[in-house]
Amino acid sequence: MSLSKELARGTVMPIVLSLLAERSMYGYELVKTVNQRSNGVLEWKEGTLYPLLHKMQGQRLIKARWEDGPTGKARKYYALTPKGQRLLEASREQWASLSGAVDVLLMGA
Amino acid sequence: MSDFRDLTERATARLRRDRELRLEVTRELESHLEASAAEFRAADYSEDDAHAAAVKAFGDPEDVAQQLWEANRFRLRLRAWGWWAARVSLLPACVAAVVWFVMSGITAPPVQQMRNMESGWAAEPTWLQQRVRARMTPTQRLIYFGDEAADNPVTAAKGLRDAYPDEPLYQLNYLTTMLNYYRLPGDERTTAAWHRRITAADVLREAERGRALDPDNGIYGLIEASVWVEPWFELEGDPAITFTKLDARAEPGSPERTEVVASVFAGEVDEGALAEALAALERAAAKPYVSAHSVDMLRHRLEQLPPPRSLQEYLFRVGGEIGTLLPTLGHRRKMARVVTCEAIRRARAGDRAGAIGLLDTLDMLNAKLAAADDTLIGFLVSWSIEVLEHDTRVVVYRVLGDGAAAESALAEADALALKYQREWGSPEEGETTEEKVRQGGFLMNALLPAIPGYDIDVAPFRKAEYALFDRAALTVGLIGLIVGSALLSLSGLMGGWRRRRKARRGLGVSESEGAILLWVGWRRLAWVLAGAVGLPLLGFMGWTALPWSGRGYGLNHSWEPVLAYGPMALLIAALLWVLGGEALRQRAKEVGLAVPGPARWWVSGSVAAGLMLGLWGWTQRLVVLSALPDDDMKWMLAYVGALVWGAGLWVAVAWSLAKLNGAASRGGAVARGLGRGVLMGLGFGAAVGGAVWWMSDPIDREAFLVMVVVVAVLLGLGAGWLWIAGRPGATERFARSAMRSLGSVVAAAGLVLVLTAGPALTWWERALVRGVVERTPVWVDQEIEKSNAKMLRAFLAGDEIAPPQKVPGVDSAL
Repeated sequence: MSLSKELARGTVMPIVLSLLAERSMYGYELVKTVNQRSNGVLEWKEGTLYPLLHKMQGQRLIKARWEDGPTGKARKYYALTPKGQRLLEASREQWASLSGAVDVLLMGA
Repeated sequence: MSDFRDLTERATARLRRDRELRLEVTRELESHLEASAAEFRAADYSEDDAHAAAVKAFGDPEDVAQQLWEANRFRLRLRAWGWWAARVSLLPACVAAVVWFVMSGITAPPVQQMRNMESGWAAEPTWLQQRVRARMTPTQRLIYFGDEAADNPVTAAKGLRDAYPDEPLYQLNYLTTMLNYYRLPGDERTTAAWHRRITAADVLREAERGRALDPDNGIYGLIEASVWVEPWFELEGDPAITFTKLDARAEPGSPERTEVVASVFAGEVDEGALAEALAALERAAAKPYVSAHSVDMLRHRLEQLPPPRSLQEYLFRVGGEIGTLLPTLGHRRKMARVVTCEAIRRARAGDRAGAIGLLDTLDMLNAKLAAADDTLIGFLVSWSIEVLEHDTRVVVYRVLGDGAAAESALAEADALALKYQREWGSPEEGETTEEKVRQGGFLMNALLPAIPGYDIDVAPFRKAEYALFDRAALTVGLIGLIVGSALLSLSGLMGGWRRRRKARRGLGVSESEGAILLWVGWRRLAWVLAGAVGLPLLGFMGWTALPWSGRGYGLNHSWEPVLAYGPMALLIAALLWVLGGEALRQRAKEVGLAVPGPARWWVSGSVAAGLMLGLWGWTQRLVVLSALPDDDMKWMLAYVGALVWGAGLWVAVAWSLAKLNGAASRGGAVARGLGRGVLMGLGFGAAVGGAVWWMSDPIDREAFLVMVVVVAVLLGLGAGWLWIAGRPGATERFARSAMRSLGSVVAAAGLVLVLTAGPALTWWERALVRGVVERTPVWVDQEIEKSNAKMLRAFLAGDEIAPPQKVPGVDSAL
């Protein structure tokens, strides 16, 4: 099953923040992790992740650093900033409220 | 080139204005695509299928290009502005900061300033004088400089007197200034029209006015007498009247004798004027005290000045002191000459009582003048008058034919000379003085030998001089950095221009492959500046506090301490090169440029080589050399050590350069060899040139060494640029980018250096000069109280002379 673009769009940034809260990751690693954990439900167009990462970097939500990866190749790792951490917490609260409300309205729970 | 270059070129097409950013994004996307393709290959896709799958998963490159541009739009603008600002304003800002630093502390030679500051008034105020004036209130300026609208010093002094007409100190200041410019034969200043307008009647009128304000002071009689004899008085030595006496200036206890030739009137004597003058002197001698209050006025004037902020401003004060003190002394000595000539004339006429009476009057007058002397120069004039008076007694008795009295007078003259020998200098004090001279620096070097037993702390003077030299050294270093930065920036501009020209002519050069202006990031920049500028500065500060730095002695004793500036400059240049190069290498690697091998070995290797050689050279100089008794041998080894250290650093730099452009091509190898040759040649050429210079003129070897270091650093930077910018190689693009970007790093280093070390040195010099002022509120009034002159002054003044009154009424006037 694939989600509509409109529905998926608002979830990308909180998901990136959430993954980076676990550990620093490079772009490809982020994409693979999302695909794996969502069992293919969230299938991002890989190229469009980088503009988002750059935008988040410009907003000081994440920071980047070049490091040599396990294979010896240099990769650009992204990590959460304190500002990004605060936004992540706020996003989680909003999502909990929203999903609860949507559950009630759509599923009658 | 990556297999995905076409895709990434399209995806980053809209970032092309910022080459560095585009390279970085390209590299990130390529890294992603390569990882993606590798995973497909791991899932048994063929090479082509894996490539196609990775491209498909990536998405539409045009969409990505649009989104990347939107995401980075603000960043692009910010970076463009930042680079523009860095390119346009960093070097000018550095230059402006250096100019500010130089102008705030070092201007024209101090001697020039001192000459202009005589008596405070100056026809064309110097820049330094204007700066001091700006920090004073109108009243303070009036007291120090006089009427600022005046066109000559006498009118300026009159302006102050007119502002406070009942103040005797200002009246006396006006009168002595007037006297200073009243008919000085042979003086070029007499050509000025205002100068010729000062008449004897003017001086006498003002003297009378002063006497009314300060009736107990005999100085007005002295001034009147001087005016009476000024037009006609001349003297000449009379070889018919000579005798020998003990030489006062010989070593203590020395029986050496010196010949005295009596002086007599030359030409026609104006009898009427002479009678007026002698009567005025009689009246002066009868007054309770005789003082021109020069030092009182001097103290009063200096109180008006703001605290000095630099050694030069302190010298400004000293210059003012000299101008205030000198005017009355010449007239005092001249009047003594008039009296002794007249005594001899009376003796020749057989007037024994008249001759001896005149000499007694002179003795009394001189005792009162000596009692009021606070300054060494004033005291020496009093002492010379005392000697003259004793010598004249010998002459007078001989002319009168009284041999016994003449012998007795000669014995007294000898006793006076002996007293001078004994109390003015002694062998022990001589050694102490010599040591103090060595520790005193240039200023005290000139003063201390003239004042035996001068008990004054010379350290603040010496330290203030070192602070001044530190400022000068910093200025030279900053100019070196500016030149280096300009050379590097120019190399970038020329390289870009040459590349564009070749690209337009179709010579197989791609314009898009040109040098990139690399931004190393704030953190790396901070590390570079801390390592290349901060640490050496801290090390240097620590070094100067150690006894081995030689700063316990003044630069008048040895120029050795300035040798430390050379290695310091070399160290900063080398560290900037090495650390700045490494920061740029790391950044270049991030954005995907081909870079030389790991920095670890060449950074640490070059620094270690330079430091070890330096340590060896300086250890040799400090420890081994200090044990050598022979100065020439010591200096030769010190010089060789310093040169080995400098040459070692050049080897390290050449080594770094070789690795930086680690190309495998034949042309690259030739170019590297050539570059090494140029650098080594410069380093060792400087060494050989220095050695030749040293052998030909040992006196200037230290100064030459400093010059060699500075020139070698500048030429070395230029040679490095020529080599790297002009030769192809595997890492050529990085090398050219590094050279282009290093200019900004060097300019930033200069800016940091001037904005940190500059104010620190300014503050340090100000603190030291404050210490100088606290120890010597007025330079000259310490000389008598703190030296052997104190005993001689007590002898001259005697017990019966009451100490002179202090400044009459000056407090109430203000």
